[in-house]
Parts: sequence; C-alpha cells; structure tokens
Amino acid sequence: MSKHESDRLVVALLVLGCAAVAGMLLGSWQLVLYPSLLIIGVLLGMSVVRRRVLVATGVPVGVTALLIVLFAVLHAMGADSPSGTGAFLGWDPMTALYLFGLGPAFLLVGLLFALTDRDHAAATDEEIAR
Amino acid sequence: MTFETNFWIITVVALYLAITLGIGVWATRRTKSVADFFVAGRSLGMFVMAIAAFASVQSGFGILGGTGITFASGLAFVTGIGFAAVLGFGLAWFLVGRRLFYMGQQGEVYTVGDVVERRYNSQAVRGAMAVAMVLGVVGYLGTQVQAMGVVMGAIFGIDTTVGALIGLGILAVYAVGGGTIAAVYTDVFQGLLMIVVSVAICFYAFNVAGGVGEVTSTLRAESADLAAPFGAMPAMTIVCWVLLFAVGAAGQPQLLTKFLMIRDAKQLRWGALTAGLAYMCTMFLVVGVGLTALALSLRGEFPELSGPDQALPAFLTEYTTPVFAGLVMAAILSAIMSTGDAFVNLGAAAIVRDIPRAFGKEVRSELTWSRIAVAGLLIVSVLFSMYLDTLVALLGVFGWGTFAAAIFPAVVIGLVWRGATRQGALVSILLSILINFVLEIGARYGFTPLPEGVVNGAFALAVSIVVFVGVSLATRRSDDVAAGGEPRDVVPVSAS
Repeated sequence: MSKHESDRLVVALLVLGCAAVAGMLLGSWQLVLYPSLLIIGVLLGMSVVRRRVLVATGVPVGVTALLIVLFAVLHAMGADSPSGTGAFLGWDPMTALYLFGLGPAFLLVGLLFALTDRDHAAATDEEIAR
Repeated sequence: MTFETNFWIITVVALYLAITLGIGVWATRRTKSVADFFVAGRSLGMFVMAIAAFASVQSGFGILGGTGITFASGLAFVTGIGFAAVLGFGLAWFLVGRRLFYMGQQGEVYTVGDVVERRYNSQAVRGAMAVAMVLGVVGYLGTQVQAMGVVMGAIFGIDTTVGALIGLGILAVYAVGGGTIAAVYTDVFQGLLMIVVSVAICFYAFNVAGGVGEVTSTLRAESADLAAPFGAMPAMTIVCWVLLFAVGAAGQPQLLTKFLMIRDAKQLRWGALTAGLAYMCTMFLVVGVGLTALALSLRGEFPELSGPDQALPAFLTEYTTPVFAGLVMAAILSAIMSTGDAFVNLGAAAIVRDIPRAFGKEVRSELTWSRIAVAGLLIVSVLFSMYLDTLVALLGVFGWGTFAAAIFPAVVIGLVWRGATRQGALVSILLSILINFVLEIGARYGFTPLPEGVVNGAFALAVSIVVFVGVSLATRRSDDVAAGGEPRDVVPVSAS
C-alpha cells in the first residue's frame, strides 16, 4: 500500500471512528450504524488497496453499499419500531430481510476473499518485493 | 428426569468426554517442541484451521447465553452478535490472514506479543499487550469454568463446583500435555459436533412449536418487538454489537494466532467462508431453541426458569429424546471447552513468553514452563470462579471488549498500515484496558456515563481506533527517528 493511499484511508477511518464515538455519546444509533458500516468498507479497502482495480474498488465499495442499502431498507421498514404485519416464509418481513438478506451479505465477505485470493497473493508478493 | 433419560444423557456426554480425552492423549505424543505447543508445528490445513478458529470463537456464552438472550429478548443476539461475528471472520482473513502467515514464517513468531514486538520493534508494546492478554484470559477462563460447572451439574446431577472440577480436569489432561495441537484437534471434533447438532435441533425445535409461522404468531400476539429482528433490545445496543462483533472479531487472539499455524498460504483461501458458515450454523440452535422456548413459555407450555440461561437445558429435558439431549449437552460442553483450551494456551504464552521478553528476559525450557503455566492458569481460574465470583463476571464481560479494543488497532490496523507507530499502539492498548475497566466496574456501582443501550466494549473499540490512528499520525516522524527509519515491515522479505 502506498503511503498516500493508506494515509487517505486511515484519515477516513479516523473521521468515521470519531463519528461513531459521537453517535454513542449522543445516543444516536444511526450515527453509530452507518459510520460503522463505512469503517468496515474502509478496512476492506485498506486490505485490498494494491490489488487490481476491480477488486480494490469492487470489494470494499460493493460490500459497504450492499450493507448500507439493506440496513437502510430495514430502517425504512421500521426495525426500531416494528409494525408486526405480514409474513415471509413464516417470519416477520423485517426479520426475513435480516435473516435472508443481511445474513448472507455478512457471509459474502468470506466468499469474496476466496474468489479474490489469487489476486491477494499476487498483491502481497508485490508488496514483499517492494 | 427419569433414570433411563439420565442414563442416556450421561452415556452420550461420557462418550464425548472420552473421545476428547483420546484426542488429547494422541496430541500429547505429537507435542515435542515450543512450536508444537504454541502454533501446532505450523502444520494445519484449511479445514482444520477454519473449524478450530470458529470453535474457539464460539464459546459457552454464544450457545448457552445466546439462547438465553433470545429466550428473554427475541432475535437481538443473533442479529447483533451472531451475524456480525460471521463478517468478522471475513475481515480477519482479508486484513491479516496472509500478513500473519508470512510473519509466522520469519522465525519464532508464536504469540500476539511476538507479532507486536516484531511490528513495532518495542518491548513496551509487547508488555502492554501481555497485560491485556492475561486479564482477558483470566476473565474468559473464569466464565468458562462457571459455565462448565452449570452444564456438568445439570448433566450428572452433581454440585456445580464438582462438575467444574471434573470438566476442567479433562481439559487439563489434554491442554497441559498437548498444548495447541490438542486444542486444535479437539476443537475440530467439538466444532463439527456443534455444527451438526445446531442445525438438527433448530428444525426439531420449530417442529415442536408448530413451525416458524406459529412461533411468529405467538410472539407477535405478545409483542411485535419479539418477532422483529432487533427483538426487545434497544437499536443502539444492536448497532454497538454489530461494530464490536464484526470489527472486534478480527481482533480476537484465539482467531489471529490460527494464521500462524497453517502450513502454507494456499490454506487461507476457503478458510473465511468455512469458519463463517460454521459459526452461522451454530446460530440455528440459538434461533430455533431460543424462539421456540419463548413461544412455548408465552403459551404456558414451558417450565418456570430461575434465569434465561436455563432455557436451553430446560428445552432439552422437556422436549427432546435423551440421546438428542445428550448430544446437545455435549455440543454445549464443546463450545465451552474449545474456547477454554484456546485461552489457556494464549494465557500460558503471555506468561511464559511475552511478559519475560517484555523485560528483556527469556525463559529456559519454555515447553516445560508453558505446561506448568497451563496447569497454573486452570487452578487460578477455578479459584477465581469459586472465591472471586464478582471479579470473574467482571473480567468475563471485560474479555471480548478488551481484546477487540486492545488488539484490533495495534495488531490488525498496524499490520495493514505502515504509518502506525509504537506510541499509537501503546496508548491505544493501555487506554482500551482503562476504559473497559472503568466502565465495567463503574456499571456495577451505578456509574453509567454513556447513554442507555451503548455497549461499553464498542465504545472502547471506537475510541481505541481513533486514538491509535490519531497518535500514530501525530508521532509518526518521531517514531521513524527513534526506530532509525520506517517501522519494521509487516511481511518478510523471504516469504514465498
């Protein structure tokens, strides 16, 4: 990872960490959740920054965007004040979204690691050579 | 329980304990060096490493406590902790899997202390990390001892202290002799047992209550919250758990040290997915039994409990066959023992290797002293759990949060960011211990400065990340000068 690339991401980590701390102190769960999801994206970005553009951008941006969209939909459906109507495969619709949407999304990171591992190896070898 | 029920449960659990003991004896014969004792001779393949990693992260708290929280509050535990920890495996593999493996190839890198000293070229950072490790390990072990006592007592109908001593005696036999090799291979057996049993009991449990739809209807009739993803917990607690257990999982030492144990880098590829899937399978048990027991309780078809943690044992004895109950009891013991054996080795490493080296000393005959340290830690954890109950409960809560806040920034971010400095690492480690202790002790005496629902460990983790990055940025130049140049690189030049 070049100094400039890593420093930019680390400054983003610093800002997002401050936002999450502020959210906890202010009692705003939204101000904790969304910076936390972005922190996950930044961390993934730090781990893949030297890889091919598709991986270096696709993995952190894709995972973060997916998590933010799913949580935003959940938020919009009223996860913090459930309506208690409807059902999906026997589950409350919001619960179904969490179990069948967010659950696999969390697991996706491990799958992406496996699919991009060859690229990761090449990037690490390049880092070693430097 | 009838005599026949008791007989079959005891038989199945006794068989489980005998197999565990057998693996331990086999592992003891294979343990001949310090490298064998601490990093399993760097011999692990993908499957063994991944299952052992999952099993050591999934503790008695996750199975017994998770089911209890689900029984008391709905799905909060699963959505906040269970799924987030799955993401944590992926993060760990992405961020440090390959880096730690390469670092392990550099020579005698066996512990988290070895990693930070090599990374920051600082004995002080190693010493601070060792203090965090010992405190966290004692807490984790103490809570595992207490959980073991409860489960063994329930199975064999004996006093909880006697039950804890029997369970720990078995753990001691294989942990003292076989070290990490014993821990890893018993973890694989225990992990596979947890996976199979968890999936089976989930479907069985929902069937008992009439299916998912019936359970949801019963919960909704009581409160819409109970059927919702966040359960009856505040949304703030759930999002704090997501941060603490997704990001913090990547900072758990029992997971990170597994990367030092694999035989080559190719073994990394499918590990994150395997470990994550395995962990998710155990959430089936928590969801199935927790929600079913709650629904049955609301219908008046479940026994009165002395506490939520009794939900799982009560369901097993009331609604399952004796053999099935025995298998699930064995799976609960697996969760407890697989975490306990990992931590006893981490604690021994901190005591025998990290603390003396932080003062520039090296222990001769590390293998022998490590075995003695393992035995000593087990004795101390029993004494603590028997006589310092409050302290154990405190350290138990303190464990995950402290590991996350102390280790994640200094080790995980430190390995991917070359600009990290020893000052940043040192301050973040010490501050994370302080924040966790002050908030956890304060909470016991009514001092709760954070808003309702905020999880102390998550707060400590967020502050620790901010402080680590901030101090590193502020001290980078002086650190470079002090170290005679850039901090040591994160990967060796000879890796291949």
